Amino acid sequence: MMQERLTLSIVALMSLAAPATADTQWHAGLDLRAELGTHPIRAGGGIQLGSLDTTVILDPMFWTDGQHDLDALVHWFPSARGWGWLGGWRTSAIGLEGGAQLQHKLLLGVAASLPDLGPFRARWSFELATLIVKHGGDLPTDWISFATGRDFIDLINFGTFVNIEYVGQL
Amino acid sequence: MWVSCSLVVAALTIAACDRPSTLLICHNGNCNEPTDPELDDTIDALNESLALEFDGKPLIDGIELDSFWRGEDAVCLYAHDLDTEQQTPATAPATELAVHFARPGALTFSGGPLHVSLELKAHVAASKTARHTPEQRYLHALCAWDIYRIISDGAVANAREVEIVFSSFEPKLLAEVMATAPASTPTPYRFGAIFGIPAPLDSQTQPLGAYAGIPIDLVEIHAQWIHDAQVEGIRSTGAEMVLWMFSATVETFGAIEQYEPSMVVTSEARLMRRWLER
Repeated sequence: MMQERLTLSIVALMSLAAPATADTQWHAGLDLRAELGTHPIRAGGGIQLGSLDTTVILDPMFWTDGQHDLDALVHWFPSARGWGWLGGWRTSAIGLEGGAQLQHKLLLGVAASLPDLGPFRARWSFELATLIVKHGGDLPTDWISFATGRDFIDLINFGTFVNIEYVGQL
Repeated sequence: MWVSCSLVVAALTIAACDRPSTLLICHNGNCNEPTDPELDDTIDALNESLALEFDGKPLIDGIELDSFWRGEDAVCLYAHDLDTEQQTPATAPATELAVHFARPGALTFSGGPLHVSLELKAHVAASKTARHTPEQRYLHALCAWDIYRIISDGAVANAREVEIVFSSFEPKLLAEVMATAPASTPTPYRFGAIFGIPAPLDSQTQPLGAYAGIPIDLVEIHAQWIHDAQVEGIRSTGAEMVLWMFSATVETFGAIEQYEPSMVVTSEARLMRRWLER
């Protein structure tokens, strides 16, 4: 339910913020990262409307360890200099004996366009990922708390990733 | 036929090697979910944690007990810090463990010895920068040996296999524990260093070199604050790597897969056990 609400909010934001005359593009490709926030290689795609770009990232590496990391991302590039803002939501399904736990993270960060590689575009992003809630798998639901440092220090992590995608006009 | 058998053996070997055996240690004697750090190092949480089961066996393989030397009134407490009104003597959880040893049934999920990590907290007041005086170190070390003796007596009396690890962020405390060892130590014990959140975010972690002269067998390192130089340093000493955490996240599970620690110290025992057994 939370994910659906977020998706609707993203779509509403896009329709309000995207310039009416903007080019509309589709894109698809790889999401690559070196640290442990998700699996290192994922794939996804989305639609760019002017300065707003939406992307959904899926996780084909789920078969390696039973974990699946699904991202819904919005990049906003307010200037032509190539820097922008990142917002999004990540739902990770953690494979457990007899079930799965879902961990939901709010993503905030910055992004920068890298030089194009022929028909492919490249983009670097830096994220602050905050685990908001984990639930499921017959385990108690656990929301983030700020009562003590021990409650939240492990729930806030930094990460960086690169997207390399093919871009086409719609 | 030979090829088929070889393939079967290879498949079984790969399956067997795929999952290194990782022991699950209960962080701060409080690992029953939902997590509540306010209950860390309390007798109720300790007993709840010891009673946890999975597949008809104990859920955990070991437990971490903190001892805190409160400098203002020279009292050795079972406490993580002075943020709460903790008044439980440091020996109280040892007594509970001795009672636990007398109950029938296995002590650990693995079937091996119960691992008891006795952490000597490195500060003596609310501030983490308030460190022990030499006299306080001596008294804290004696307190640690009192805890050891109660656990060891309980283990011997009930013919239980137990291993004790004295661990600390402060190498001088471990040196004092070495210096004050009693003549008779029937229960095996080892020493462990602890690495946490690095400076300047936290003042506790000291470099591995500061533990020179102490036979460090284990290094407990926070699962989300590891860099390659630390890993290489730990491995060069031959010490076991232990990962500890407050909350298990995707990053934690990734670190366990990457570094294959001998133990994980967690506040979420059921989550971790079910992940390890998936």
